[in-house]
Amino acid sequence: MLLRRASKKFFLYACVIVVLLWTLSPLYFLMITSLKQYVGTITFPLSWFPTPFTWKNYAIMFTNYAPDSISYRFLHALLNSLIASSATTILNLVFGSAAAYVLSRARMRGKNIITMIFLASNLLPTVALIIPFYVLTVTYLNGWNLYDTNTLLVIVYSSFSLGLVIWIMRGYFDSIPTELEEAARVDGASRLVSLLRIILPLTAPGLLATGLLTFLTSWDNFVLPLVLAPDASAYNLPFFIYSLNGQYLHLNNEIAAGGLLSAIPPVIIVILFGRYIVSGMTAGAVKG
Amino acid sequence: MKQKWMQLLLGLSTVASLVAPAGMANAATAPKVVLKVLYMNQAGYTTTVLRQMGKQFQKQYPNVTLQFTFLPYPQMHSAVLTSAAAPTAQYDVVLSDLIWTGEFASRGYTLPLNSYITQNVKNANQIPQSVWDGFKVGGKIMAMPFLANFQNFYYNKNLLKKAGFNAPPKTMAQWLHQMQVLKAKHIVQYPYEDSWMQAEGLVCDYVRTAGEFGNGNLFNAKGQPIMNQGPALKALQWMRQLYADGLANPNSLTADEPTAANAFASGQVAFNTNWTFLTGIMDTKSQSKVVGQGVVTTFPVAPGTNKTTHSADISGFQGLAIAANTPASLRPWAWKWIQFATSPAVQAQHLHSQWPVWSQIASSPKEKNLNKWAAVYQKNLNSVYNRPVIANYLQVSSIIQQYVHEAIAGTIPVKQAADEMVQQINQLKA
Amino acid sequence: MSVSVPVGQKPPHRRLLHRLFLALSGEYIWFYLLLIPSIVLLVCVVIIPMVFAFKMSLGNTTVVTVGGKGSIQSVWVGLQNYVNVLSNPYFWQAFRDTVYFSVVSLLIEVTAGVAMALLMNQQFFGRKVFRVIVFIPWAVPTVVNAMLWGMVFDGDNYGALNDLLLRMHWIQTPVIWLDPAPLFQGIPWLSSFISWLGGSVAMNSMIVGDEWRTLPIVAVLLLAGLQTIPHEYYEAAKVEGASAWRQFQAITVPLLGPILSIVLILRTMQLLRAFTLIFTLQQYGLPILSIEAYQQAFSFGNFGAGSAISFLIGILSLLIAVVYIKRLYKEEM
Repeated sequence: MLLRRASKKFFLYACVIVVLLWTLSPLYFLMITSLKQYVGTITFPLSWFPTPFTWKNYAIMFTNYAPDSISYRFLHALLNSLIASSATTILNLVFGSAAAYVLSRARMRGKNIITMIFLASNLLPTVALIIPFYVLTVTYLNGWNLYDTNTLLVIVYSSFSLGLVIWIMRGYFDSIPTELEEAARVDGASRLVSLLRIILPLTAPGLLATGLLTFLTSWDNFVLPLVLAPDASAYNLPFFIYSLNGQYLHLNNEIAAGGLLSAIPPVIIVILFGRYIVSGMTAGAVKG
Repeated sequence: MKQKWMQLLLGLSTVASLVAPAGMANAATAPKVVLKVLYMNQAGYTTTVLRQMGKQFQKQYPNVTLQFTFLPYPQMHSAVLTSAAAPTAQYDVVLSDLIWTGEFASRGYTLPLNSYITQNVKNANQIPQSVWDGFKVGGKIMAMPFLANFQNFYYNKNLLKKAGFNAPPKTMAQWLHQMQVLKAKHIVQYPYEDSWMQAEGLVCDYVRTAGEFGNGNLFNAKGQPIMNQGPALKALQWMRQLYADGLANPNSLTADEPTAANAFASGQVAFNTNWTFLTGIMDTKSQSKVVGQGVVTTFPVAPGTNKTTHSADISGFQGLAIAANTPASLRPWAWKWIQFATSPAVQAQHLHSQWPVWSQIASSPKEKNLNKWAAVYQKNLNSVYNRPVIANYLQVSSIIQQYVHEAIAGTIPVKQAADEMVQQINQLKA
Repeated sequence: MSVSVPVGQKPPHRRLLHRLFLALSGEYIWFYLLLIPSIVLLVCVVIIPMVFAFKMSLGNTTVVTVGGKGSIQSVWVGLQNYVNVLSNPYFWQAFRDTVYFSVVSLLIEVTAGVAMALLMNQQFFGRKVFRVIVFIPWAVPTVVNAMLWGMVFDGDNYGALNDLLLRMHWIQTPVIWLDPAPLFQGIPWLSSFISWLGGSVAMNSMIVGDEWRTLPIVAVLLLAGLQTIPHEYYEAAKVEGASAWRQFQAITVPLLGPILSIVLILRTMQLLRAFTLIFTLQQYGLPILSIEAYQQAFSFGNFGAGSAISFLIGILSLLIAVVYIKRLYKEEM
C-alpha cells in the first residue's frame, strides 16, 4: 500500500516536471538567445547558456534614438500598443457594459436576439472582415484619413471584443437581483445613480476580467495592423517583431529580446490576474 | 564619424554645383510641397542613406518636404496596391521591384516615365540595357532604375582548400564534382545551401540556374511558358539532384535568403548564391564566423553557354516610380526627387552601401578602391537574366514556386512538375 | 411609465410617435442611449463590412486607376467567384489543410488538455505556483510565439530542437521541421495516408508551436470546470470501491462534458481563423484558408476572389457559432 502510494506520488511529480519542461524550456531558450551575441546563435553545437554574453540586444531597444533606429521603432510600437489596447479596453468596458446592462434589465422584445448577434459578431474570423474593412477605409472613407492610424485600430479592435464583453457582463448583471436596485430606488436614487453606486461595485470582478481579456486580445493583434496600419507611425509591437525578422539577416538575438520585452506586460497581467480572467471567461461561457 | 560628415559635405557641394542654377531659381517662387515616399527597409540603401539623400534634396529644394515610409519587403507590394486604390495616392513616389513592372503597367498603378526620361536623363545609355529591360514593357518605362541588386557566387576558400581545390568551379560539372568531394571527405555535411523556401527567392534561384545552363528566360519570344524544356528543365533536374544527393542542405527548402546567408556565415556550408548584401556580412566580425574566408566570384556555367559573359546571374533591380494617382501638381516634384536620388552624382556618394546603376560610376577608380570585388560584380551584373515581365507575374510566380518546390522535395517527378507548371500557367492566361 | 394613455383612440402612426416620445422622455431614455453606441459599432464595423464583402465577392473586384484617381471597381459577375473558388484544387487543398490543422489540434486539446487539467487538480507541493506557470505561455503574443518556434524548429544543426536531438544522438542529421514534406517516409502507406489527410512535417510543427500557446487556456478553463464538481461525488464513489478510471468515466467525463464541448467549439472557431503563426513562418508555403484569402486580395489584387473565400470562412464560422450559442443557452436553462 505504501509502495503504491509512493509510486503514485513519483508518477505525479514526474508529470509535473514534464509539463514544467514543456512550458518553460522554450521560454528559457528565448531568454538565453536574447542575451547572446549574434554569432552565438549560429554556432554548432549551440550553447544553452548565454554565450558570448551581451546586454546589447536590450540596450538597442532604448538607446540611440533617431528616426528609423530600432529604439525609435520599438518605443513607438510600445506606445502605440499601449494606447490602442488601453483605449480599446476603456471603450469596450464603457459601451459594452452599458449595453449589457440594458440587455439584462430592459423588458424589450428581441433582446436575446440582439445579444446573440453581438456574440456571433465576436466569433467572426478577422480575415472575413479585414478585406471589406480595408477597401472601405481606403476608398469610401478615404477623406477621413483613417488608414495607418491608431484610431482605426481601436475602432476595429473594439468590434472584435465588444460581443464578448456584452455577453460576459450581461451574465453578471443577470445574477444581481433586481430587488437590490429597486430598494435603492425607493430610497430616492435614480436608475443611473443606482447603477453607479450599487450595481457597478458588484460587477467589478466581471469588469476586471473582461477589461483584461480585451487588453490582451488587442495587444496580440497582428493581422489588423498588417493590413490597416503598416507604417511605423502606427504599427504595434507584434508588427514590430515581425518587421525585425524581415530584414537582411535573421538576428534571432534581437528578435528574442524584442519578443521578450513585448511579452512582459501580458505575462504580468496573467500572473497577477489570471484567476479573474478565467472566472470571467467561465462565467460567460458556462453559466451564461 | 567626422570623416563621414566631411564626405557628405563634399558630396553635397558637388551636387549643389551641378544642379544649382535651376534649383535655386525654382526655390524662390515655388509652392510648398509635401511628397510622400514609400521605400523598403533593406540593406545597401538603408533608411539612413535614404534620409541623407532626402536632406540633400531638401537643401536644394527647400519648398519640398519629403515624408518617408519604410516597410519590409513582403509588405511593399500590398502597400503600392493600397495606395493605388485610394482616390489620391497614399505614396507619391514608390519603390518598384522589377517583377511588378508588368502588373503596374497593365493595371496602371504607376505612370510611364518615358517623357520625363527622354527630356531629362542625359547619358541614359550609361545604365546597362539589362537594367532598363527590367522596367520596360511594351515601350513604356515604368520606373527609373535606382539600385542594381543581383546575386553573387560565394564560396569558402578554406573549406575548398581542405578538399584540395585552389580555384572555384568554372562549369556546372566542376561545381558538382567539388560538392561531391566536399561531402565525401566529410569536410562539411552539406556543401551548399540556398534559399528554396516557397517564396520569390526560389524563383530567383530557379531562373539563375536555368541561366547557368544556357538561358534564364522562362517564357519564349511568343510569351509561352517553356519550363518543361531546355535549360529550365535542366535547372529543375539539377536542383532536385543536389537535394536528393545531399549536396544541398535540405534546410534550403525552408530557407529564405537571410537563413541561407546565416548558414554560410556560420561556416556550415561551402557555397551560397546570394544577393550582394552577403559580401559585407561575411567579413563583419559580429555577424560572421568566416571572416576572411569568403570569396565572391562569377557563376559556373554549362560549357558552350553564356559565351560573352562567362557567368549567369539573376537581377533584383529596383526602380523609383510615380503613382498614377499622384496629383498633377505634385508630379514634377516627384520626378525631381526621382531624378535626384537616381542621379550619378548622388549614387557616387553612396558607393560603400550599394552598387550603382550607372556604369561610368561602377567602373570608376573610387568603386575599385571601395570594393575589392568590383570586377566580379561588373561581370555578374552584365550576365543577368530578368524574371519574366508579365502582367500577372505574382500569380505565375506562385505557381512556379509551388511546383519547383515540390519537384526539389521529390513529391512530384521533375518532368511532371514542369509539365503541370506550364499547364497551370496556360490555364491562368485563358 | 406610470402615465397610461388610451392608445386605441389614436391613428397608428401617432400611436408610434407617442410611444417614442414616452420612451425618450421617461427614464427608459437611458436604456436606449446606453445601447446605441454598441449597436452603431456593430452595424458600422461588422454588419456593413459583411454586406460589402458579399457585394465585392459577386464581382471582379480590382484596383483601377483612371485619370489620376484610384478606386476599387467591381464588375458584376454573379456567383462566378464562388464557382471559381470552389472548383479550384488549391482551395480544396487549403480547406483540407485547415481541417487537418483544426482536427489534430482539437484532438491534442481533448487529450493533453484534459490531462493537464487533471494534473493541476491534484494535491502536490507547489500546486499554486504550478498553476500560474502553466498559464504563462498563453500570454505570450502570437507573433513572438511564432518567432520562438521558428528558432526552435530551425532546420540547421544550430536550431534548438535539432541541437538537442543531435546531442542526445537521437538523430544523425538535422531534421527540417518546417519542410512541407510527408511524414514517416519510411512507411509508405502511412506516409501517403497522412499526406492525403493534409498532414506534413511542417503542418505538424505548426500545430506543436500553436498548442504550446493555446493548451494552457484550454487546460485552465477545464480546471475551472473540474473545480465545480462537488468533492462528495468522488468520496461516495470511493466508499463504493470504484477505481480511479471508473470515477473518471462515471463522474469527471459527464460533468466536465458541457464546459469541454464549449471550449472545443470556441477553439474550433479560433483554429479556423488561424493566420499569424503560419503566415509568419511559412508565408504562402502552407496555404490554409485565411492565408489563401489574404493572398488573393493583397498579393494578387483579386478582391473579388479574396472576399469570396473570406465570406465562405465567415459562413462556416457562423454555422459553428450557432451551435455554440445554442449550447450556451441550453446551459443557461
